Amino acid sequence: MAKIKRKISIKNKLIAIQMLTAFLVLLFYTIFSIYNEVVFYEQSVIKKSESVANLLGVNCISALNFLDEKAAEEILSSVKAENDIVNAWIYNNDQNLFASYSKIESDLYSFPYMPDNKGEYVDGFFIYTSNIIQEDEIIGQISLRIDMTSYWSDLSKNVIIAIFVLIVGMVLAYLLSRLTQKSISNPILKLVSTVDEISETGDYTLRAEKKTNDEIGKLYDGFNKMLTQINIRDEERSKTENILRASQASFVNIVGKTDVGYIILDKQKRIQFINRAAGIFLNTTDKNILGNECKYSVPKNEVLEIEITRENTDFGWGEISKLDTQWDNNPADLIIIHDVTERKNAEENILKAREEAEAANQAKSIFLANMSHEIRTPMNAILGFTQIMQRDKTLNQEQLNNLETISKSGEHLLGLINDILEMSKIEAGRTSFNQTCFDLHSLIYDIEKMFRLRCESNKNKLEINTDKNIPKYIVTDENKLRQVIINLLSNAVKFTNNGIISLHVYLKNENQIGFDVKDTGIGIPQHEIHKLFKYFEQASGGMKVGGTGLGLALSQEFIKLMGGDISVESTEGKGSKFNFYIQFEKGDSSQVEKVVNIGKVIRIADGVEKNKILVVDDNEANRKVLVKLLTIVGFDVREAENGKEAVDIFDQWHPHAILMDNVMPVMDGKEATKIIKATKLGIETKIIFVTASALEEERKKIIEIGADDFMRKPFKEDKIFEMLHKHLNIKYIYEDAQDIREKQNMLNDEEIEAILLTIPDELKQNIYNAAINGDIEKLEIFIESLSEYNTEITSVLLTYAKRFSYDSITNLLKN
Amino acid sequence: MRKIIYISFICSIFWLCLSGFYEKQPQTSESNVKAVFIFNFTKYLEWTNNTKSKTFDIVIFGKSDITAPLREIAGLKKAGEKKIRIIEIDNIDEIPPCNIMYVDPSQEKYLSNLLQTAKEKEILIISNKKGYGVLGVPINFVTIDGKVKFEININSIEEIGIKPSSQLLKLAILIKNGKYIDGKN
Repeated sequence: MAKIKRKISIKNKLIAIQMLTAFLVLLFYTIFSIYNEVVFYEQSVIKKSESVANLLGVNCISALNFLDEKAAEEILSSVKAENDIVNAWIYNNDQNLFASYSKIESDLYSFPYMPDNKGEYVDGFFIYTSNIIQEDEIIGQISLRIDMTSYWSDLSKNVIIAIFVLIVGMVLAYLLSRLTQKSISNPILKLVSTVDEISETGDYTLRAEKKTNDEIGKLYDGFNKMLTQINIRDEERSKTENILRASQASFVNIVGKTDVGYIILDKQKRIQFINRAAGIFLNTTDKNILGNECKYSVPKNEVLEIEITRENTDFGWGEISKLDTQWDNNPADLIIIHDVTERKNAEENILKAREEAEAANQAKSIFLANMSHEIRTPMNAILGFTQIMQRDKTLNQEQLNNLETISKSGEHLLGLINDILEMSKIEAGRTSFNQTCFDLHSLIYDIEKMFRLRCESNKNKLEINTDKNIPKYIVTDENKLRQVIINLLSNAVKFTNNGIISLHVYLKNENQIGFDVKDTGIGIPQHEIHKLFKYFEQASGGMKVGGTGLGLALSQEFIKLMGGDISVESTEGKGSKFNFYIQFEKGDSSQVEKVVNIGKVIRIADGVEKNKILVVDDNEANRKVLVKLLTIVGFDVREAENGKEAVDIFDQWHPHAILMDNVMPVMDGKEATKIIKATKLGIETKIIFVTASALEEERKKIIEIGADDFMRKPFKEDKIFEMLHKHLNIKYIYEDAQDIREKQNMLNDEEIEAILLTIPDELKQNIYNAAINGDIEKLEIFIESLSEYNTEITSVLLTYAKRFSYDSITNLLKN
Repeated sequence: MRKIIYISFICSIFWLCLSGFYEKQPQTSESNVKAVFIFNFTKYLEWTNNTKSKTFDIVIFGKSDITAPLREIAGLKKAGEKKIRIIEIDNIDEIPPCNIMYVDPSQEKYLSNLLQTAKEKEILIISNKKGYGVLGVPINFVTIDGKVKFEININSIEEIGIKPSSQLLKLAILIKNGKYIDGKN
């Protein structure tokens, strides 16, 4: 249906529409008029029957009353004039036929009594029945039989006329529509022929000729306007195409002159364009390369390095990358090739230079490591034997004092060496930041103890002030912080006489602690302040008092490592103020390593089984220090000169622990450790490296090969004992009160008096006052500072102090 | 609803009575017709000075078969707005004021007296004997071919002051000036 609809021409559609409209209107009218006729006629028949029946009925009442059939029939016969009424009859109240009438004498049609008034069709006749009523009482019934023939013939005549009108109307409608449709279809057909002509010739200058101003006229206008616009657009497009062609030509011209290679590929990777540079890089001058597939595939957003051909040399390096672009209005890839041969060569040279520099630096590091080893090794012997000698109870006081001086000088020398090593480590970028949790208050207290005496000897007043909100436990590099504070305070003490030195510790913010170190010393000239933090540079004041010129520079480096900074203010002749801060994290007591320092070890406790120690060192002095120290306290000690010897002894003797040197002839410590640790027994044997290496990374290497721990040379004897306790769980007997008392007993009153005489009165007075006041902190500080003068009297007094036996102290000092 | 039940009840009683009446006395159908005719006359006649009495009185003089059916009708119907009262008398002296007096043929000896009284009291005399119409009775029943008919003496009826309707006159055998009109016997 829809197909047919589409194929029908507009002309026929218009005719069909008009015909359909006319047909529907006429049909509706015909049906309506016929229906109207039927209804009207029926109504008129009923009305007529009703009036006739009423008239007859009324007239028959008296006849019915007095049973006069003749009179009734006479009345009935009066309907003769009505041609339609063919029969009439009356029933009395007893439903018996009372009287009847027939148009044709022979037609004695009668109809049974009907209980209700009504009209109905029977055998093509209309029968109307009506009651005869007298004074509200039905006294009879009258019926009329009406012939409908004339009615039917009238009706059929009317229907035929209506159908005729319908047909004539349709013919008229067809003729009219044929005439009228032309006014609409002709202009459209003409437009169609114009469209056909344009599409055949492609001539957009043609125009449709408009004749009317109605909607079709507007359609013509619109069509013509559209043609004009298409024309304009065509012209613009050809203009744009010309511009495009020109710009493409200039693009090709420019790109042809650059040294950067450009290749444009379509989406099938076929070369659409290639410039001169790219042609050189690909080693092709062939014009036919266009359309070939490109051999380079470059992932998007990546730069690849490729080998290229160059004009003068055969081989070079190129960097190739890809971008999205358009070519001939289609998406395409732009491949860009840069010649990076020169850069690449330069890079290689730089790489070579860097490797050389690194090698040189490595050589320096090795030199430093070796140096430290070489310097520290004799130092170890010096300090070690000093300590052993200090154990000799036969020595007199003067000899002990000399030994103390040797020990202190040695430690000072060691400090200097350590400074230099630290500096070189910083330069090599090998300084490590060892974070631990520690008690800051205790650190400050230790430092205060250390400096109080030194200050007093210069007649300086030391004021240490720690703010209450400073957390007790903090996490940072404890040793570096200690070193910085000691360094600054040492400087202050050095340059101040008869003045005030103060340390103020305060909370800068949640993560930063600030430290102010002030003195009222000689100050620093303004022009020299910039030298302060440079290596090996000293202010003029510094030169007078000596020093390496490393302290402040190191301090600054350390502070930076701890995430802070240092600044200085100074006025010449009035004093200086050094201020620094560090980053920290809050810690708690559980993170703090407990250091137990009870006293001097006398011997190992009874019942200790794991007491076989092998000492391995090629340096005899060092070896002897350790052997002697360990033998004194009761260890079973053997010694080996090198790694090989050590392995042999290990195999035979099975020591519990080995104190291993690293650098040795024949076989070094690492090699020996590897061999020992490879055995079943070796796993249980604790190997502790005792090395002069200053480098942290060396320590890591040693632990990596399987050694259990690491100790630096030179060492303090406590450290050795602590280490053996840690790994073998060795228990010691310390120099306890009993021994002290024995010592005290050894010192008679005269001796004590003699010793006390050598001690400055001021210090004695301080100890006395502290004991009187029960100030345990001060008392301990003062007693400890006695050790500078005499260790025996120090231990005697310390014993008393620890027992809170202040009376004994005051008694001794009374005199 | 109650009305419908009431009406249907009355109708059924009437029907039963009528059917019983016809069944019991099939021989008296002529009397029935006459009774009905007497009742129907009230519809076609107009008494000019008949407004005083509250009832429509019909007197039956002498023993007659008509009495029973007339009583029947009087019990069911009204003459215009008035109740119908049937009065039976045997003595000429007992004549009460009334609208219609039916004179049985057995009492014909009193007829001339009665006609005189009727003229004075405006009573319609109805008789039942051939030839009485001509004698001056206003309405007289006759039987022709087995069918009950009635004669109206126009002079007599007008003398009493009663107007008969044209319809009634159409159906009646008319007598005027002692003669039958229209050549009817």
